[in-house]
Amino acid sequence: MNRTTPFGFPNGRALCMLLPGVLLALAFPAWASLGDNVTTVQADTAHMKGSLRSVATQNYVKHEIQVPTGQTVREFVSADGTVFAVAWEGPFQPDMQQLLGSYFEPMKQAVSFQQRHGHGPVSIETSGFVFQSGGHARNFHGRAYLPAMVPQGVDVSEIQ
Amino acid sequence: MRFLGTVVAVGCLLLSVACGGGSSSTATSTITVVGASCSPSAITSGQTSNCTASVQGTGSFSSTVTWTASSGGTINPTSGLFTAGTVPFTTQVTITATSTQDTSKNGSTTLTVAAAGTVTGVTASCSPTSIQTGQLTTCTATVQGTGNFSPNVDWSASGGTISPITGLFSSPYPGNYTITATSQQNPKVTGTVPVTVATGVNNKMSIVVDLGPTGNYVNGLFASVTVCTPNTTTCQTIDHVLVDTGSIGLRLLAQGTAGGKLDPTTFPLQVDASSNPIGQCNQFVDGFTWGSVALATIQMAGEVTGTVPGSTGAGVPIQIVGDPRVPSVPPSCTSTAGDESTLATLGAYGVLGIGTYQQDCGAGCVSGTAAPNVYYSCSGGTCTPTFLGLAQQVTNPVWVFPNDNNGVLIQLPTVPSGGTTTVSGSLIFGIGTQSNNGLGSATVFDTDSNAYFTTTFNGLPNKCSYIDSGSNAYFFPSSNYPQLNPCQTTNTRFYCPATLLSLTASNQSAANTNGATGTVPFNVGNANTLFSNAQYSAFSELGGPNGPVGNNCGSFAWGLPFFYGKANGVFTAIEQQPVTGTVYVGPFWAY
Repeated sequence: MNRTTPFGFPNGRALCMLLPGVLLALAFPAWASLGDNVTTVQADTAHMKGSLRSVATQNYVKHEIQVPTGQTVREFVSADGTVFAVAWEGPFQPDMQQLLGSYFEPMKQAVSFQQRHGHGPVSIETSGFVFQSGGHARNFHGRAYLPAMVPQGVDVSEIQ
Repeated sequence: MRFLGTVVAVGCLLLSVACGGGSSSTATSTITVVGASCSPSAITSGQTSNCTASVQGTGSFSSTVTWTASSGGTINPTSGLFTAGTVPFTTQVTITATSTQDTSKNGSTTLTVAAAGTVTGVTASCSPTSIQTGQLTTCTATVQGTGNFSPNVDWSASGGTISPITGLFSSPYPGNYTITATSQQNPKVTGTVPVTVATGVNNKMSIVVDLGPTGNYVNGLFASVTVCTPNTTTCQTIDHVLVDTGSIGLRLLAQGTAGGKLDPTTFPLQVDASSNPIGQCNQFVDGFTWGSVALATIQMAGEVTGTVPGSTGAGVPIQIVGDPRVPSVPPSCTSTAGDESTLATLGAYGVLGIGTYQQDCGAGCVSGTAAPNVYYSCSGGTCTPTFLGLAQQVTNPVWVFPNDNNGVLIQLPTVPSGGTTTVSGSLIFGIGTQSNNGLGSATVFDTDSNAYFTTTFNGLPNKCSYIDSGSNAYFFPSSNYPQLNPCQTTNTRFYCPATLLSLTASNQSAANTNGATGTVPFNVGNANTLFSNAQYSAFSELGGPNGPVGNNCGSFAWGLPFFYGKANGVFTAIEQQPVTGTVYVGPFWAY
């Protein structure tokens, strides 16, 4: 069963062309964090019924949400208010749709479109979007970020 | 100043070395001092003490002495070895060393000889007292007595083999055996314990790596699993169930839209206190499966699951993926990841999760401030998250076997470079429970509370590493190693180095019970090249990226290629389950 990606995913240019259309289609971004404005952090916190702790660094603010079911979610916001990265860890997967927003559907497409079948940790690396999901039953961890929006001077290894 | 020499004589051997014969005194030599000491200085009847003399003199004097004892035993006049005899009460014995060169010179020391106690009884016990052929049981003895008696025993058995010192017993033949502990001090006093050895059920089943039901699976390890309606002989056997040491519990795809083989109708649904059926959103690392929780008796090889500990009913909770008896997947489940609830997305007719946990969720699903998006109570066409007790959660079927329930051993042969069409191997239940599943020379690697250990690659430690037959490659951070780049445009889950890379990584036990470490050599080839033969299903050289280096939880997933050609096989031990006759308790991996 050979399948091809309808978006040319993970080709980075195709993804970048696709995403604005997806964003426009969401007249009401009831969820949307990655790539969106800092105001969505509060929406995420409320949505996940979590508690929020924010730490400012030289290049960004890290908002850490403790979810009652045990996950920790971190959202990284640049000086211009853009959520350029998210990270998570805990016994369950987070509300990935809430975290990734418009990138959630393309992420799922990229995971499923492989020529050969198999399961395991996920790593999607394109010029426009990076998604990494690891772990096994009862403990998961991962991160997603937008390379073009990572502030100058920030090492992506800080996103965790 | 005159020469003053000191020679310590410990029996005749050392003496002859020190003095070249020890008796060549000259007319001008004299003995000045003789000292004596014995170690130990307090012994019991039948025990011995080594006595040594210290002779000082002038000139070329002889350090040879003659030993005598006042009472209480005998002493070798040359070597100084004192053997205590039987004394009616505690006796002070004077040990004297007399110079042979000058018998007027001697030295003495006092030795205490205690009266021997009396052994009155020996109690023997073995744990467990019922074992299977090839399994070890550990026997211990308690010696009762009065006074200063010896607690030591010698072990014997009416058959099989037993270590005379450690009391470890096993037998290759079924039967009833008598284990005997005999007092070393008084061999007339013994204790016995019966041990029953039963023929182990067939604990070994065939497993296979092939292209799977979708015809394109890579490194998919499959088994056939039989599930029966509890307390009936109504059974179905489902082939191509993915063998997964990275998850917990049996999940089978239902017939119908899910594309599975299981007819779910005969399996009773797990229900909550209000008799509402339980749905489940099971989370894998790359997607979820949605379906019911139902009860089944699971048969693999000769093993049949019993009753789940803590449960009163029959059957083991399994997930029936795509079961039409529960409502469709709720939004709180679809928002976690992609849906893998169909044959097309799962690539198998089910998943046999036989990892290191007993349940698929554990305490986090039992209670807390909010129920996670795992178990759901379904009524009126909708499902909402609910807490669920441990005994009601989807359960590791191996843990529910009456025997052979502490883990599994997976044995797969070597896969040639470049890949092969199919691979056949064995899934063996139990660790150290039968003659075919002993740990042998395998190294045991303990895991932390999240079932991880540490794997270091290219100098960088990954603290969230694990061994997982359900991951189909070595998934690890490239750590800036040259050529370790993901494939472009196709097969992007995998690495595509220009040349075959011979790599090494080292594993480190997470706990400190044994501190095991080990180096693992492995190869990573170009996935695009490997996959050029669409008929090949098994590849030992398949690697792929996994998360960032520098993450607090960097992860090296030792997927199915790790299992190929491991001489000892790969053991996966279940939490809290001991391996009889060893110090090891799950969770751990060993290979």
